[in-house]
Amino acid sequence: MGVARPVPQPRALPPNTWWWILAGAVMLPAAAPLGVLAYGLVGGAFGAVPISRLLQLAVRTGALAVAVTCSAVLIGAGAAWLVSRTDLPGATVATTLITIPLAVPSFVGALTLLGATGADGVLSTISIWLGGGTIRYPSGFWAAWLVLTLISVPLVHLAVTPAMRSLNPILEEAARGLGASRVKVFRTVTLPQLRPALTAGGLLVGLYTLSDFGAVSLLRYDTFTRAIYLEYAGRVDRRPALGLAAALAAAAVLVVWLERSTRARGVWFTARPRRTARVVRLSPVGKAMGWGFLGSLITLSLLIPVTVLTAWMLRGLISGALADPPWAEMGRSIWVSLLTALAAAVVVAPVAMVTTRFRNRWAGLVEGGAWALYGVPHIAVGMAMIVFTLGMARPLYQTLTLLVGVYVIMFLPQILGPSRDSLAKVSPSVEEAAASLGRSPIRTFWEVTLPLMRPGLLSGAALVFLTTLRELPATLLLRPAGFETLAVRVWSATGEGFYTQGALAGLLLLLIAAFPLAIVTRHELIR
Amino acid sequence: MNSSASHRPLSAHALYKSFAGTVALDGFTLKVGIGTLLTVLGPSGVGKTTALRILAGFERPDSGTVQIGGQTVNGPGIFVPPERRQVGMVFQDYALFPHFDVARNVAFGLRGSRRRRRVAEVLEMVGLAGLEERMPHELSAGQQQRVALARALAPRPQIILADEPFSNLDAARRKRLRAEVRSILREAETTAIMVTHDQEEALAISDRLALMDQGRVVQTGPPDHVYRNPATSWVAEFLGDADFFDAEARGGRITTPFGTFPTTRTGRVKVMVRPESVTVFPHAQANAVVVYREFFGHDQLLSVKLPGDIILRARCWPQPALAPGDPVAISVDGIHIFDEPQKPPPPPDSSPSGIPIPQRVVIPP
Repeated sequence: MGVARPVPQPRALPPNTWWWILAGAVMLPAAAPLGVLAYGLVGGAFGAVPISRLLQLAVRTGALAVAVTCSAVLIGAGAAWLVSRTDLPGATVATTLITIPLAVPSFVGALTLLGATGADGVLSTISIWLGGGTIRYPSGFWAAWLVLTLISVPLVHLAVTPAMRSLNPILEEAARGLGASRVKVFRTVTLPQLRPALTAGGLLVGLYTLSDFGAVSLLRYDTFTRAIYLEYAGRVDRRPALGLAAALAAAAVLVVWLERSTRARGVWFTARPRRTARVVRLSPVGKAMGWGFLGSLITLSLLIPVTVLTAWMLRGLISGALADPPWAEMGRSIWVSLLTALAAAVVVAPVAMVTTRFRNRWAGLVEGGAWALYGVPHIAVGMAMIVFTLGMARPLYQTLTLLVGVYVIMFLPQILGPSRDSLAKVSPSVEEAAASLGRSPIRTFWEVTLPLMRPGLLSGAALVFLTTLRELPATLLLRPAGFETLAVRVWSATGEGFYTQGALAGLLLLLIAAFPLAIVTRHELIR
Repeated sequence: MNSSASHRPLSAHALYKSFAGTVALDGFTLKVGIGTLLTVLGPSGVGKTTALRILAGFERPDSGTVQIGGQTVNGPGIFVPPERRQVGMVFQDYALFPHFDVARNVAFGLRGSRRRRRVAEVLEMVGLAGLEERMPHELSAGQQQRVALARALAPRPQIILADEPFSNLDAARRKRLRAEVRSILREAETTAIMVTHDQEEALAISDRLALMDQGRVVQTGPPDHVYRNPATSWVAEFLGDADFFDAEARGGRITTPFGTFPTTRTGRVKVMVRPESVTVFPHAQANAVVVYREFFGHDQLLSVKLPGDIILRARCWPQPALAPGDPVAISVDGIHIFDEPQKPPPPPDSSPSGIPIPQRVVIPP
């Protein structure tokens, strides 16, 4: 056996310092949009927007966010209760069908609403055939509310169902045993247990509505995102658009902060329930009503959209209007999404390492930075990056590098979460074991750490792929000239009333999205 | 580097280490001889694991030196990283690579063409031949633990370090496995340092014990020697049940409520009695009385009240079944004497000053 050679001096940089340098290099670009938005808020740009306009937009955006959040939470929680706490037959099928619309981007949702109504609308045609009149084009608040609510219900449903399943019956029984009425038990015991899940779901919906661009722009409801785009497209002066973007970003931060500060402080420390909660037996009438509710939800959010898109595509095929299928757009969408997923998988490694294995007092800052950008609406990030590149990095303006870079920093938490989970499941002692068996830190990373991180990296990369595929506002602002993706195609075709073109691109988008979605759900199931 | 140390598999001298103001090691010193199984024993939080991690190279001490096989691996301006220390580590959670099968886990530290043969050899040694293709999650906790040991032994390290290796096992399996591990290490002729807080485990399998308290080793020696001659009352209590009494030594004898013993000391002393050196007889006229009884099946622990409200515990055969209130006579077969007040802990390896003296005193008549 060889003899250990002493190293004369301690290494200049131990391995964790290298990881920290790499993580810093990854997180540094994230400072650019945050810095520009902060500057937009405190600097001159904010003042370029008339205060009355700002207030008007705040009220309209806020009203939509509140309305969508309330309706999505009510519907999503109601559906979750039906499938998890009652003996309604077919609950598993219902859960699957309720969650599928998660894959529908808001601009495709708007497209189906527009394609269903109006003189040529699919539903109008059916209505006329049945002897009724045409259904008018919806627009404005209620149209946006309907589309965003239907798309957001799965978010709440997914957040609340597990919480309902794991409700501990012992607590409810203890409360009943202490003499509380059913109503009081629900208010004081059941609801507080569900509250974290309900607020988490509600927060997701609120932020989603706040940052949505596709639906509100196609359905012509004036919110911050639509106004930012109109200001950007219609003016040479970027300051009003940047000011609005800064205001929107601040609103998103405010929502997250409000949710955090009102979060209940108690933690429900009870033993894991030995039994699952009592299932409510529904009467036949109750079952019929339950299925009526779930059936309408599934019809509105899944059946009608699929029918409308298919009908428009068939119309196009029959009339020959589909002479120019969007193959090039599809190629670009897949290419840019793959590139982003791959880049995210590479750069997330050091960030995952420093926030799990080599934590120090900076780890919180790195995590906070990653999540802060995730919460800021994409259109605000896009606007900030336009201002940043035009001012300080001109060669990057409207390049693919910039687009992919912005995607990566915006979507990093989607891959950071699963990678960290994979790493956290394995004790750091396996890496120490590798070291004591003679492996250098670099080889330990390749042979041990990376393979262990792989499931999380794969599932996270699939999620990043999916999100990139459907991203619209930042793509519109930052894409190189002439770089049309499927999302851009759906949006512009719908905006101009070419529903056949939009429908085909939308269907292709949903089809491609099915692959990464399968990877993500399989990973979730294995966990 | 002195020449005598070069023959030792491992020696550590005056290690200091603190984490954010909390002192973990406060002058930790330890030497291990070839082929010895040394157990570092102490309650939780005295720095045992920190010491082991410094020896393995996972932590760096604030000061102090470590030599492995005569080579300085920690010292002023010297640090040999763990991958070049040739130390085999057995982790508390086994740390098997979850993505490799048993054979690849064991082969991980091996190089060259004879890997497969060595893997087979080591798996044979730990009694796991035939399980080469199992994945770690398909093994029982005891089997995982033996794979971890095989993996550490495979590259023939200079020394094996094991951190609470049996703590994840249930009581029955722990007893069986620790005897097995003992014989595997002996067969492999390996030097090993094991860390544990379980005194029974430490006494049962070690060649030498190193008792650790507050960041330093307070006594080392063979288990039975340390048990019978504890350097301090803390060591005595940590290793087993013990009762302590204040007494006065004068004119070559110590007078206690349970008899008079010869001594070479004078002045105030502290007397320790272990329950197993106390014998109890039912005796109708005796003025000692049983006040409490704990029954363990293979023996019983009786608390006996002597005149003057002194309580002495006795471990004895389960028969006769004595009940609280029964009058008994006792005899004490040996005591251990500490100077009182206690001196600071003596340096390691020193012989303790107390001497057990067989004595037979019956009260009354």
